[in-house]
Amino acid sequence: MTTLAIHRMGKALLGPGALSLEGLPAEFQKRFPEVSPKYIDTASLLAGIAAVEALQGSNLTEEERKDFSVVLGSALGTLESVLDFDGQALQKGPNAVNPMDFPNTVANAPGSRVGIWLQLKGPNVTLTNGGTAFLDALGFAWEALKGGLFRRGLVGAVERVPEPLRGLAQKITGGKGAQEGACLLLAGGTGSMPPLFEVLDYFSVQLRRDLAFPSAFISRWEPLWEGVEWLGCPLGVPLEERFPTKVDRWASSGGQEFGLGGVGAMEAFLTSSRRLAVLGAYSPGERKLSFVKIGKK
Amino acid sequence: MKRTVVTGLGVLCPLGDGVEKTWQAMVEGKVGTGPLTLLDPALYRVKIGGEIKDRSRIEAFEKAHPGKYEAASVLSILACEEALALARLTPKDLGELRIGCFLGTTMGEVQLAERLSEASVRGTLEGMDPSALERVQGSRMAHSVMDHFEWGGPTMVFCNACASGNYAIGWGLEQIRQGNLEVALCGGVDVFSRVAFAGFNRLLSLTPDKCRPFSANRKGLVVSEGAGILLLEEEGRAKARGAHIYCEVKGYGLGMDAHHMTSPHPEGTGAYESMGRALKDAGLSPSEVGFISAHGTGTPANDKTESIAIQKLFGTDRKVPVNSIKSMIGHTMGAASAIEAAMSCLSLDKGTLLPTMNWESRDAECVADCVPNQARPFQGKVAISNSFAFGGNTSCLVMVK
Repeated sequence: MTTLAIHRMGKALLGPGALSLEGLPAEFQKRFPEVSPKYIDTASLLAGIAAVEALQGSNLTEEERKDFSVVLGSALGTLESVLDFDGQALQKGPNAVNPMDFPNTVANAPGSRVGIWLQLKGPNVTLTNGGTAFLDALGFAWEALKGGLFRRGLVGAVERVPEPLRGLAQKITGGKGAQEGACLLLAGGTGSMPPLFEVLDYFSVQLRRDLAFPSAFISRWEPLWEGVEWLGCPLGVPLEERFPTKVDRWASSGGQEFGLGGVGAMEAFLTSSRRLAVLGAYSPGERKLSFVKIGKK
Repeated sequence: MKRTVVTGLGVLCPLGDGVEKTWQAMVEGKVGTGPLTLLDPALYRVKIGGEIKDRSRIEAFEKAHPGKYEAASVLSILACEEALALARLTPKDLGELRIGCFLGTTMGEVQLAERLSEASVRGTLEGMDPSALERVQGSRMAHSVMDHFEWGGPTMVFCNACASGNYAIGWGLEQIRQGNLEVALCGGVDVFSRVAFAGFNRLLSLTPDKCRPFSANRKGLVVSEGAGILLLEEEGRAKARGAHIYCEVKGYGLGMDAHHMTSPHPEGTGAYESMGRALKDAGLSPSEVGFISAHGTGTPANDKTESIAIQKLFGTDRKVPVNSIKSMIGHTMGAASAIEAAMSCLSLDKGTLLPTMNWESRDAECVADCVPNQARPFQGKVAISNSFAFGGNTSCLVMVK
């Protein structure tokens, strides 16, 4: 059985009592004094801050950096920069926009910048996978480890809602809003650092139009639940009737339409005494569910 | 480990709607880029682009499904529709199988993003349907394909800029060979974007007239739009139903320059690594490669560094043919690698190398044989398709006849 060990977590979550972008964290500024919010998009900064925290104490060698990956998921990617750039072009004319702002508009800017800033030269992957982005990034790394593409790296998600679209985000989440920020996990072989937990399985599926489970995948569904005693997943998602009845349930509280779905459940699992769990996330607009099975030794 | 073959292809690009039309036009060396009509050319320094001119299928689809899917989703669906038809499969056939859809894109549903920015500038965002915030997400493209054909299964959308299509095809290969799927629809899609056009325009990356990959007097790229889809199928299944097999997808490799957001590494390190990883994944050596479908954007920096990487891996003595179809259709962004992969499949299948058009004079720092200006017969059995991107992300596929 393939297991992907997760050794450390780095977080840069925005919100009351959490990170503010008024000033970058000292550790990040010390590492990258030339990086300024004036030129770099917020999603890249958030990913960079989380990456520095996740890598603290890992002392990567030059050799390790050669195959050190970045797998970063998001729902909205760098939409904020797209709106800024296009808005400038609409107001001032396309020949007046700052060309230095253009690279901020590509969705792989956060993942690529983490790779460039930290000199991580393994496969660099950006997934825009809606509300299942965080779990899909973990699942991608686990499946890529099985296939030989991934060996070690930073895996997680970043989310940034553009300021002008906050009203729409409030409406679509029933007033809860989206969790913004970044959460990156240090995954794979990293010397003697003990793992926080291990990824043991991954399954993701877009349901059919009538919300039916595609029966051809039944052989992937059942092994997911073997031995599982705890489920971290939003309430009211499709397939509830298929979840095993004898698992305890932790339900997250909204914001699941965006990319950090599953982070809260993961943290709740880490502070619990549970040994084996399934984390779930749901993208309602896409009828897509993703599950990652994790365990503590 | 299951073997993975290509049994269907779908392409929409400035040379036409359809694989065969596109192939034939490329064999004849036609150039599909030209004066910009989707944007007001007076606003821009450069006034040419690559637009899908034959929009009859797009218009018919939008008329039949008004407002249901965004523009990039529509291209994705139409390219998949052609891939299914060429594979002689129906949506119903696949509905009972383990099928998935993996797409790559640079800008995703950018035309909706542009409408959002217009509304933001005008102060009318409050009146917009909140579902726009879901519909604008890149993930919507793969969702739309599965939704339209009434399938259920895994989806992923890779946003690794212009290397994305190969990421998606590589992931489809991975899923089939691990036995997770029987069929995967994979590729890349990008619609014409004023954000991308304005951005490349301001970076001075655009040629004012035509794209001349590997030519000493090359001046830059042409921003374009398109869609490319490969229908990947587990070999045993394809053979059992008597499908036409274009080629086998044998390996893929991803790399990272870790150098700069917009400039390739001067030594082409990511390109070199990803080609090497793809060949290793395929269990092949550089000496077995018959041709390379280059990233070949026509910018001075890309073509030089790609040549350095190719010569480092393949040696300077061996003149492997290297072509760039971007000379004919421009740079279709996230679709580029998928369209190039589709054309590489056909090159292997039909025994013809497509030309690099507009080539005028040799650049000593570039590859020696770029199949200049004329298609030619080809007997090789192994192709590499390169794709590189902003951020230094690189991806390569290995296909075998």
